[in-house]
Amino acid sequence: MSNVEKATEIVYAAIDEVNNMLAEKQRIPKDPSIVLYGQNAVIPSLMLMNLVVAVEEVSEDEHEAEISITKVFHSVKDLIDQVKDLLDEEG
Amino acid sequence: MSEPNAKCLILSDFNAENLGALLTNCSDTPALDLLLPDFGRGLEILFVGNHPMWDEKPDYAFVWTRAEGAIKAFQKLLDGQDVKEEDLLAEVDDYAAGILNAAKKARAVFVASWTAPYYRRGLGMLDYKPGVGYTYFLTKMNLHLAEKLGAATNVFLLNAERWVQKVGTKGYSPKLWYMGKVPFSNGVFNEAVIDLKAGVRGLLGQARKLIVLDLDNTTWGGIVGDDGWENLHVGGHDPVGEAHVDFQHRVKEVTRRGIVLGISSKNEESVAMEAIEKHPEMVLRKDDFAGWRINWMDKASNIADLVKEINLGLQSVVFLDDNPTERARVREALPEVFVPEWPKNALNYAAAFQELALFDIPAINPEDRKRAEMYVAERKRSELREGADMSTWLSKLEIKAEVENLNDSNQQRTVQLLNKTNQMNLTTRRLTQEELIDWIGVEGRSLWTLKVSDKYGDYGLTGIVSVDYSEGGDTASIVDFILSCRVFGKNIEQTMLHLAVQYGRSMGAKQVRARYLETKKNKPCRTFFENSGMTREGDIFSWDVATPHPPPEFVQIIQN
Repeated sequence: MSNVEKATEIVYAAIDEVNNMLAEKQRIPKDPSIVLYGQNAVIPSLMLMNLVVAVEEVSEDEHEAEISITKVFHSVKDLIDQVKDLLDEEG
Repeated sequence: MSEPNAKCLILSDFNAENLGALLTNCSDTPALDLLLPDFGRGLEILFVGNHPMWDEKPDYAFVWTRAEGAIKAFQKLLDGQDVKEEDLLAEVDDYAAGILNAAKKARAVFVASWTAPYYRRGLGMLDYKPGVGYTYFLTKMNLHLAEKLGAATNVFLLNAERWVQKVGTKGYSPKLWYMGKVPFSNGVFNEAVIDLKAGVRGLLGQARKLIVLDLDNTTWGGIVGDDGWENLHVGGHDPVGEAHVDFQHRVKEVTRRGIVLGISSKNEESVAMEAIEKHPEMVLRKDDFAGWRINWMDKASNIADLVKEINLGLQSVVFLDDNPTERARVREALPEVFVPEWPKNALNYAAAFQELALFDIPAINPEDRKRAEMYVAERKRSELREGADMSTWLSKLEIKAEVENLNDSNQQRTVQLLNKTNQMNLTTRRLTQEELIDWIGVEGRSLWTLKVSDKYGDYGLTGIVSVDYSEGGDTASIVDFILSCRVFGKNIEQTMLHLAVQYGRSMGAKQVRARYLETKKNKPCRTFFENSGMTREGDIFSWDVATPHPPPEFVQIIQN
């Protein structure tokens, strides 16, 4: 599995976890174009924080990669890219 | 139109938005609407009795704080300062007083116990040393809080330690704490929601009451029809056998809380019963079961049949079976029956069983302890009843109804019966103990409890009838007319009506009236009143007290 595929899997699994806390209409679609931060963001800031923590946990639990999301991201695609870069750094 | 959801107010010293989101979106019944104050206001609301948040009239409050957030002296202790134990406990007293005040404004208050994160080693080998260790103080604070809240019948201290333990090292999230003032991970909050909802269901009388067990590879290891009872895995020097014995012990333990047992198994009945009676290490015996269906028919039909015989609703049932196909079949055919996923490995059965959050009740009474025995006695009565006509059978039962007014010793059981009885219930009025005491405090209102027994055993306090004549005039109104399904058809209904009419006569009323309020479940009550000899106008049934109400046949009334 390439790091892009791994990053996508991690982010989508984290979205699943966050969606457990959201009503059906508020759930985050698993779509790279979805805006997570800034204008037109689909989730409130606390859920964004939950998503960050979930991404880090899934990465560690499922892929044994200890990563830390530190850069700002705007969309699901940005987040996947950042996770991919961090996985690359992990080697 | 469906009833609005109950409202739950969360009071905490941390950011409880995640907890609130999980509580709101949890599919377990009942659905709860959330009242979540702004971050940092939880303790203020707890301590300010007339805070506007209470105007929202929450049905339930859930108080969850960190020990260092709620008890300043504990924070000082963690900072290495000297703190006197009495000062610490005095703060716990204040905290308990706030909770007891909240208990006057909500139907019930749930409180999470205080926990410490796994990484806090504290003073290591001195951590339990009296007057010194952090763990010592935290334990003492929790016990002190439990004692201070213990007398309140609508306050429940929940064991948060278990929630954290279940999630393990991921239970505390420093990142969530520093980024969002959320101390716990969602795994911990999920466990809290499960316990909270189990508690609410218990208060609403929705706890499960009947466990239906499969036998082969569930109650015991092996297939009795193939292996023979002598070769089943039950006890012995065998991990699978020991696990089954432990599972049976855990199941037997809940019968002491009033949970009733049944069997649904595809087997030859004689072969299966021989195993239950003869295997030397079997914990569950024939007399532990209120009924069974052991045959080769569809399990869902068998369960429906058994539940009808025991006189409970399907929503009271839990079905445990190792076979996923049988579980799926029962889930599909009987959606009201709760069918948990079951471990593949028998060594995990006892743990899986103990984790079921289905049997929580707000108090345990002597009647609960005896309920399983009463159902077994009922099975024996039914066996004797076969072939006899109703009057002959009733005449042989030597039924006694011991009538008492509401008093300190029967209040708790009365409230329990009031809040969980659905079928023979005239108005399905639900009250807390405090609300009931307030209601009965008005002159002209009376409530009687009925303890029923017959020559086969004691049913306990199973009937309630209350009459309101507080406004005087021509009419005395029956307010509560409640009878446990265990004693349906034994002329206790007539006894209760007789008491109500006698009271109306003694107070000078001209008629005694019962207004039937229909629910989804109380049709048996309407059927009784329709056949009671009362005059009916719509949903109102009346008895003209000029005509004495005949005393019930076959029931000896003992008035205390």
